[in-house]
Amino acid sequence: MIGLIDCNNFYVSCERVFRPDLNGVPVVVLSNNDGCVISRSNEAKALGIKMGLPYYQLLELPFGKEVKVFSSNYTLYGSLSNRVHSILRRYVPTVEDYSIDESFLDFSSIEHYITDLFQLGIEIRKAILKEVGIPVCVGIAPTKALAKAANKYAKKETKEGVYLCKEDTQTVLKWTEIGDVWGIGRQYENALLKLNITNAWQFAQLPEKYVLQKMTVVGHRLWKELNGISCIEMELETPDKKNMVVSRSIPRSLTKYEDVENAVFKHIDTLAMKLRRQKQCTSSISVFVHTNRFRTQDKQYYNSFKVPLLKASNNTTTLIRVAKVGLQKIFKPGFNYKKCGVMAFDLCPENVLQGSLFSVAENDKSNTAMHVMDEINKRYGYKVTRIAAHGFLHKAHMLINHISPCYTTELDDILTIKI
Amino acid sequence: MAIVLPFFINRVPAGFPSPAADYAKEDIDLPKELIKNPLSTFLVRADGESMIGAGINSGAILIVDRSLTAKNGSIVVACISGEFTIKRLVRISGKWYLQPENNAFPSVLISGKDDAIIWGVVTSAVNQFI
Repeated sequence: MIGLIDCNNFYVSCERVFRPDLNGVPVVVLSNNDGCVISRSNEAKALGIKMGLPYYQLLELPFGKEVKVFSSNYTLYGSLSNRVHSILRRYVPTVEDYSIDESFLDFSSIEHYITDLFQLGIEIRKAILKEVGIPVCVGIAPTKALAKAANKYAKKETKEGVYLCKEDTQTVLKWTEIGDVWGIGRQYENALLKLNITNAWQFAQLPEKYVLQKMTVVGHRLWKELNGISCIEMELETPDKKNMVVSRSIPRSLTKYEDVENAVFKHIDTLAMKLRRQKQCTSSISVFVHTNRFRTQDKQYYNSFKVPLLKASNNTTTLIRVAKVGLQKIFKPGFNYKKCGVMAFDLCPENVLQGSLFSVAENDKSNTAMHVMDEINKRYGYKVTRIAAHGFLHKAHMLINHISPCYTTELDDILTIKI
Repeated sequence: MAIVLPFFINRVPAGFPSPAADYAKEDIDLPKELIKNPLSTFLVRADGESMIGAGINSGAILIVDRSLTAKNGSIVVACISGEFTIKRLVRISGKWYLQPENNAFPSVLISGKDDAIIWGVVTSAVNQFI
């Protein structure tokens, strides 16, 4: 059997751990740059606040001012997510951390000892709520896709927040709308709705031959999963990522080359730091820029350019030089740029390049400087030191007007209690 | 078949071997001693004089373990109607109180009407003198 643990309204719940006064109150968390709503408390959902609602539209609503608003604090959410993920490993050795707020548990290795998986679900839920303060729901079923559906059912239809789906898969599948099935995209949803298939049960009842003919391998796998045949494996170690992207929307549109360049260099700085942290190098850098496609009154432009490197690298100064070449190829004056970003391709391990024991990389002063910079930043805070090329005046700086303290990772930010 | 030879990174001294080597132990790790369950432990800072008698100075860093269940006599981080406080939890003739450790402050009776939760149990206080 497979369990899916899903944290309820995770970002909002993280904020509430340290702000119990926010219980029972509508709370939302905004995306990067305070753009739009990405997490909602149940009270906010009840007010009809939709996922993805732009912040300025929220403010225009009659009750907009009553909603408590937070900028996303990924340092805090990441820290609490790690705690939740770690607690799960206390109960089951095989855990796949599927996302920041979801984990799959493979119960197969412990099923001989555990007679009551429902009770185990209750126990896990209780432990996470008490120890970290985060409410979670648990769905348990024979396959991953069924566990996903069981989890949603647990959240909406049970008071315990736990649902065990064994032989009777009908209840959950009939309850699950076809568009809510894990992995059914908008296109398949529309195609299936046309065939009058509105829930997961009807989909699972389709003849296998038909599914094989009409859908892809992925669709067929899903069909098998819903019929209780497990075919989506647990991914226990995150496979080495081959590509990496850093990109952000710019709060105000930029028009000048220097401003866009500053923003691009800043992304390169972040990218290079991430590469070094993962002990990886990149073999090419792609730069892209685009305008705001929602501002139909503006002239639109999108372009990207990929520059290969002679030798794979994770050195910020090297990558900045390369990115500059790319940006100069695609930058055109006269546009309002809303987004820019950088991508790294064909990542390879750092040590493969540097050779082994006897070829010490000390001759590369610049690489040493990078590591010193990383150490300083680690000790004294994010980007205390940085490459001067990305400038000091940040028109592209993130908007984080409603950010909460980093309660668990900064001593200066810990909860202060008046006693 | 390949032959694997072990390669020792440690320097092998030519002189008399250290008699201490076999008795080597890790130095004391204070956070490890004070924090039994890191996953459920949070640090908070006390601001005020109400718990002076319990050894909690204003400004002290407190180690709070949420996994512990508060008992009669525990020092707790409590939350009453949305407000945090730190007091000693005591039971007197069937009623629960949040008691300060400073005569200048009043005890608080936890009544059923309050929206009261115990957020965590304080396990130690770090008072810094410089």
